[in-house]
Amino acid sequence: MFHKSLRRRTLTFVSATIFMVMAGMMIAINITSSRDQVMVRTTARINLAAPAYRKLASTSTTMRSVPSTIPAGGVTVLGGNAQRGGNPVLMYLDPATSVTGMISQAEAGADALAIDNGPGLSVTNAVLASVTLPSDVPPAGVTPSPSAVIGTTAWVVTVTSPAPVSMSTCSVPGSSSNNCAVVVSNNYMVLDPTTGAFLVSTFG
Amino acid sequence: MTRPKSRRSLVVAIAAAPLLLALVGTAISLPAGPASAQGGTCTTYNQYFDGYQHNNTTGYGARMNTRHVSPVVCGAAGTSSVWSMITDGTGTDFAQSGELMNAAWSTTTVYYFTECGLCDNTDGSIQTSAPVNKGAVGQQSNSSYNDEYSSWFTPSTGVTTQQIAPANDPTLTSNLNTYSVMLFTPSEYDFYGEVHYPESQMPGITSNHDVLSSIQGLSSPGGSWVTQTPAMMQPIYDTFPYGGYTSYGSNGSFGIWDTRD
Repeated sequence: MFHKSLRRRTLTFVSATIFMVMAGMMIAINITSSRDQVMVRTTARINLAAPAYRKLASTSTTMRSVPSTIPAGGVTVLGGNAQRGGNPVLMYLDPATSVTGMISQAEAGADALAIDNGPGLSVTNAVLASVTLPSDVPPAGVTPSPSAVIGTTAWVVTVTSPAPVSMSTCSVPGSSSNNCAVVVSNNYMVLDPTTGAFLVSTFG
Repeated sequence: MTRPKSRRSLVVAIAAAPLLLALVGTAISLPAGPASAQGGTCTTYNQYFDGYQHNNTTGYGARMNTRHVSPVVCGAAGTSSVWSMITDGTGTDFAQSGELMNAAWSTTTVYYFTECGLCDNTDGSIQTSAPVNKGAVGQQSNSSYNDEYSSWFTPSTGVTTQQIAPANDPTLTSNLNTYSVMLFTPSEYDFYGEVHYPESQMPGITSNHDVLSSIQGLSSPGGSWVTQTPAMMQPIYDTFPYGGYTSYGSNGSFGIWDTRD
């Protein structure tokens, strides 16, 4: 009787355990489904851009700064400012030909320093290029904004600081750590090729 | 956006201003400007905020209107900014849009910026964690126009849009958009002014608050924008010793300013 009772209790315990495990799995599946529905991913590298805008796949040359001449086939300009490590893509540059009414390289540099007029700044490079800013590229099915810099012919002016500049990315009140500090030396300014008007810039 | 030639003229005029003032003496009564005592050396780096946030279990969109009022930034690295964002509250993961002045680059240019702490670009490449400047405008102390700054997640595309609807630059006629694939789950939305050194000026002055208005949030992906009431918002982490802020209004607005003016 003791054994029968023990066996019965054991079976009951095993059954309950199996039930709880299955219930837990169902809950876990539901949570996973819920998270999938909002599509907040924990892994990267899914290409959501329209095929026409997938510059990453078509440029083979990568550089850590904007070059003085754009190589045939284009270049991917990398930064060092991803808080999780790795090198973010700042912009894609393809060779471009001059446009009617284009301002000179020197004028582009002067225009850049009229906007970035901090002490000690200097223009260390200016190159005409067809510019694509990856963060301007919308997902497939979404029309880019008219202001988007995607295959845009422009002067890319490198404005360099005399000392590294902290561009911290910790932006939540209460954050005590500074482990997400971002330090840059250059502001890559993309200017309209005929007016010198500011289009966009990114730090690297 | 000022055309290059007129901008150069402005720079020349600004550069010549001290000489002219020296020539005519100090009898000229200058209009009251932003705080002048804060423009010197930067001391201890930290992050100082004034504003409100909504802690929730979800936070899939944040939207507000404002314009940057007369910041003075310290030294060669001081910053002053105002922004809205969605975040997971960790301090590192966020998507935001706003206005930023950084003395290392300029003490007269205010950049429209977007920034994502932990995001990919839509093509799968890593997105920079540094600000991306989407437009360059001057200080807007007397402007009656409000720029709109928003970030929101779109379930159908899996992408977060960070958008600036510029009102202070007549040459910018379309929205300035950044598209980000967030690698975190947002759980709150925040609306703040921020400086990194005590010597820098929080946006807004006593006589001209930097008013954040039409504050709205999205608590569910694909949901509807909801104007944030006082009961929804918390004025926390007001750690900046020179910052002030008004009570949160029922119409979804509040003001921030630097108390040294």
